[in-house]
Amino acid sequence: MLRSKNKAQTALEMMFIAGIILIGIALVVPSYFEENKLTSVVTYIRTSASRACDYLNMGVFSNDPRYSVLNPALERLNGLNPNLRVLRLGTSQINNTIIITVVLTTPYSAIDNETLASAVESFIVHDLSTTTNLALSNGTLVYGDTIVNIIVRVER
Amino acid sequence: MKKGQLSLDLLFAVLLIIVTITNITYLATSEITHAESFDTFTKVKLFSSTLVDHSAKVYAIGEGYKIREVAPDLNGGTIRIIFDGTTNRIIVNATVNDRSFWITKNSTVPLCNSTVNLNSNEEFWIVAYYNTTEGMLYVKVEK
Repeated sequence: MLRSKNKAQTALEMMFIAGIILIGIALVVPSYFEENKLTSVVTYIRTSASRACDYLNMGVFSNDPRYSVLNPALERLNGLNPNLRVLRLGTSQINNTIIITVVLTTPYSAIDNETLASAVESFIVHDLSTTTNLALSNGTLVYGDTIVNIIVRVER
Repeated sequence: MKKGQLSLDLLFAVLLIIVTITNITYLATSEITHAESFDTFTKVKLFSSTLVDHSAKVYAIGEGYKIREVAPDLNGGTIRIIFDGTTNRIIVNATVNDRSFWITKNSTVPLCNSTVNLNSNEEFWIVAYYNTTEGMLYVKVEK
């Protein structure tokens, strides 16, 4: 009698501990995924931006649909190596919108930064929508229920 | 806890690790296709620079001089070299797996209109050619 009562008591304690662990999981998982989402979006954009820079620096044209977006900008460079690189990345999150600012830098002053910036921007949007799990809807990138806005600037 | 039994929190930790690993693997696989493209970009770029350099050398040495060149290995792709005499440009056009890669380079020496189509690792020559009617030295490509 006493033995079986003890047994039931342990089971109850175990359930209590299990309950605490489950509540812990329920609290940690959503925030973990949220963090993971932001981190992966930033990583995607970072690699995509440096790929765009590499392509423009290389100066080799391609009809590969992933890179052909950059061809008009590359033509405008007229054979000059722009020495582009990613200077910094900034993120800000407001409710369901993540705004990611990519700042590229080039030592040349004769380069038309507006064309470069918009070309790199459309390259990143196109690259992310085709190679990653971000989707394009009405011209904006969407990741799950989060809207991702990308702003590219070229500085000297 | 019994020996060999997995605890709930350990399983949970494993789950989080798996999520992170899947993410990294996903990123890595998408990176592979880009890396393959960049491999071709680099080869085409390097080859075009070599062509500009060697045509200048051939011109400097003078009439009748030839340099043997070897096309880069483009994983079964073909390459087309165009020496454009009117704009004085060297155009290298590679085709790998139905994708084209091309680059235009300005030549420092006068060129004669000539074109060669090559397979990977195929030989060709850069030749200094003297045009007797014009009395000018030109550089051209031939197989």
